[in-house]
Amino acid sequence: MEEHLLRGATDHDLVEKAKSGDGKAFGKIVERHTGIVYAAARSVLGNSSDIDDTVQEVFIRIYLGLHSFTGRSALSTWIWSVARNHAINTLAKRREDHIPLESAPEIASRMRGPDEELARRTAAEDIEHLLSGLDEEYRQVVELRYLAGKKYREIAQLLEMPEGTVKTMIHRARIKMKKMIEERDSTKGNGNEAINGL
Amino acid sequence: MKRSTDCERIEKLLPLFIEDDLPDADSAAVSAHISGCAECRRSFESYIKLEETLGSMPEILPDPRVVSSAVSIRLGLERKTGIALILRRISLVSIFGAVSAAVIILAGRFDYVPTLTSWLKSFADSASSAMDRWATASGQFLSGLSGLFETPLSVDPWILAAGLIGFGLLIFSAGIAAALRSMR
Repeated sequence: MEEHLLRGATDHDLVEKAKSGDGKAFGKIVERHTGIVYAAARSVLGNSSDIDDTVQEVFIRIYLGLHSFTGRSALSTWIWSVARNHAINTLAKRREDHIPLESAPEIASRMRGPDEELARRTAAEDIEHLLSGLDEEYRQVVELRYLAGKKYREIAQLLEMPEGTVKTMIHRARIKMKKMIEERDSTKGNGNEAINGL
Repeated sequence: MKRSTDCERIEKLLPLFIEDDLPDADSAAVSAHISGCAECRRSFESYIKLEETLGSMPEILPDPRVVSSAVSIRLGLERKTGIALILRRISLVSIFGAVSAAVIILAGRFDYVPTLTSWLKSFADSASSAMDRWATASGQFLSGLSGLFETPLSVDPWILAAGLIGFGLLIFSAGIAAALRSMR
């Protein structure tokens, strides 16, 4: 199917085409839902170095299980639940095998240039610092909002909770993360004063 | 230093102010307060910094097209596309072959195409001789039919043979096209 036709196709159309073996339609599904799968994987695995590999595995599972998707729920809801379950299983297996997160293969670095990868890592560390102070349920709401770019209504639908609850959670998460930023800035400030005082 | 009641109220409103989710009156009150209160302004700046950091989250994602391509390769979907491309070309070649075969055979049988070059004629003659057996068989088949229906049939057996070959090649093309559709 032509690229411009795929761009305007609904998720339902893409699923039907992908089920009949249209590889390009499935590619478009991957492009549309990469953010959700990353948010799901990160909310369970954190800023793990093999997150890219996990995300690819999730999409392979989705492709293989596409025939079981009946369309009763939104595609994003189904993808979210497959991604969360896969990430939870990956975490359990890692713990079972005692594999430290840092030793996992890094697919991401093979996809980018060194400068781009360094910038991404630095940004990821800053973000991870902020998210590390949040409980898992708050973290996943924040990641869906900011990483996957979802609206409150979409997050509420994905997590099966009222939209008001999503808003409240984002609000509380913001207050907590803002405190962390202030604490970090104040530590930096004290450090600089100490250096200047030497 | 203890913050005033006003400052405490503004602090509660700041996250909503950042998100532009306040009634106009409250929004104006927050604006006015932070322009005159250094402590609340610092708090506001921290929220801005937070929004900037969170706003950069999509940058840590790899390009979705790269993810899509990597998944397609792992699933073998891109390889299928390559084979499909080759089959599509074969299909086009076979359609072209069917049309060419019909033209050559007809040109070899009849002399009403004066613009054909000599080599094409020679090739057509070779094809003609190879087709003789087909033509004879077709002629016998037609004679049999004529005898059966007791009606003389005037179809040139050569044209019949060319038609049969062209038809066969077109069926082959249709088969390839069907295979392509099932692969997509």
